[in-house]
Amino acid sequence: MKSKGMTMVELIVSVGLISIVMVFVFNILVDMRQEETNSSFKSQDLINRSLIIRTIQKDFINKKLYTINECLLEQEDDIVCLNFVFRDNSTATLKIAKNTVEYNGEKWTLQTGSYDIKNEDYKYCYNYVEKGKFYYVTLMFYVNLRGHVLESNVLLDLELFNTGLVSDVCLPGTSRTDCGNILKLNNTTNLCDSYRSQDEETTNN
Amino acid sequence: MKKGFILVETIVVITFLATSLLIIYSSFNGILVNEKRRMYYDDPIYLYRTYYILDLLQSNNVFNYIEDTLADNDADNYPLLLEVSCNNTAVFEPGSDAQILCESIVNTKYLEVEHIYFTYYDLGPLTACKNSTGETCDRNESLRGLSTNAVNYLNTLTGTGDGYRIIIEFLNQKGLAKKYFYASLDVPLGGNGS
Repeated sequence: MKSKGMTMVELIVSVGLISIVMVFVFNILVDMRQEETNSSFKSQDLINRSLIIRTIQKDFINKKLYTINECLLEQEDDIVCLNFVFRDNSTATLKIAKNTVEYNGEKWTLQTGSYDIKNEDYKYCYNYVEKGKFYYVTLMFYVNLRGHVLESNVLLDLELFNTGLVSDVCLPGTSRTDCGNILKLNNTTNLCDSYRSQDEETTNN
Repeated sequence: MKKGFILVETIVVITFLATSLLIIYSSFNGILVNEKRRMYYDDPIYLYRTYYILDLLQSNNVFNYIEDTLADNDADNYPLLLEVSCNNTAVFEPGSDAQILCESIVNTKYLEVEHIYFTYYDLGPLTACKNSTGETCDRNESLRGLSTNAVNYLNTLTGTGDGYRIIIEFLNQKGLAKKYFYASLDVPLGGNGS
């Protein structure tokens, strides 16, 4: 009897091999598509983020942070306005609006949609802990990318960290009594921790 | 007379296609890996955290500690990588303000520090797993305690010269999702990190 075409076994083996190959191809395409979409959006924002952090931290390190005051929000879109005072008496203002970050005259615009902070009550969080003669302080500015294509893949949050001797600074919450009239920052008690807890709950849900 | 493919012909065709696709995959996989490295290695936030931790350690006795310990390597010992913690009495005076601060920012989830390592600036001997006499060492012994992610990060660091490096592994955990970030700074002989 003459054999025609493939037998059932041949067909099954062929389909099995093709399926394995297709799984690999599909994974590559999904990864590539995600990365391509992300990179086109985030490249400039990541560069800007690095520049913002570098510029501010450079001042923190070189000029030495002395105190932080809140300043008035001038524009409707402004979310945060902080005035940093350094030990050489120079000052610098950080303004974060919906789409821009401005520090000491330099301005960066976010390309990735908006720069909405997740919750208006948590414009930023401010942790301060005094341990003996040392302090550490962190300013966190979270970026809300929910609903955006980059939701889970991009780190655009800004973090400004500083630590040093309590005797060198005059920060809200310090036990020093010679700080003068310093405007108290809102919500200064472990907001980063409470914010993170909230975020973890959201993630778990 | 036969019509259509026989099994051997099908397998040959599929093998050819699979080989081609594997070549394409390996090419693009490099791009994907580089992209992930860009995300998780030397992020500015983690670099500045590393800077402040190094500053704290340097204001204590860490420099003498690493200089003494790493300099004493010999064929039987592989101190090419040194882990430092806030509990290290050679670095921090127990109960001192500096140790308390270190514990509050390093040993808590706050800065997400998982491990702090010091090593020579020139990572060649470590990654090649050679001791000071040039003998090849046991890789598991030399890189003992390092995760695969950490070893992958070490392999991306280049440069030769004197001095040391501080390498910090950070663990960012949200729910069940764990992400490891790495940052390193050089520690010049007797100088500050840069």
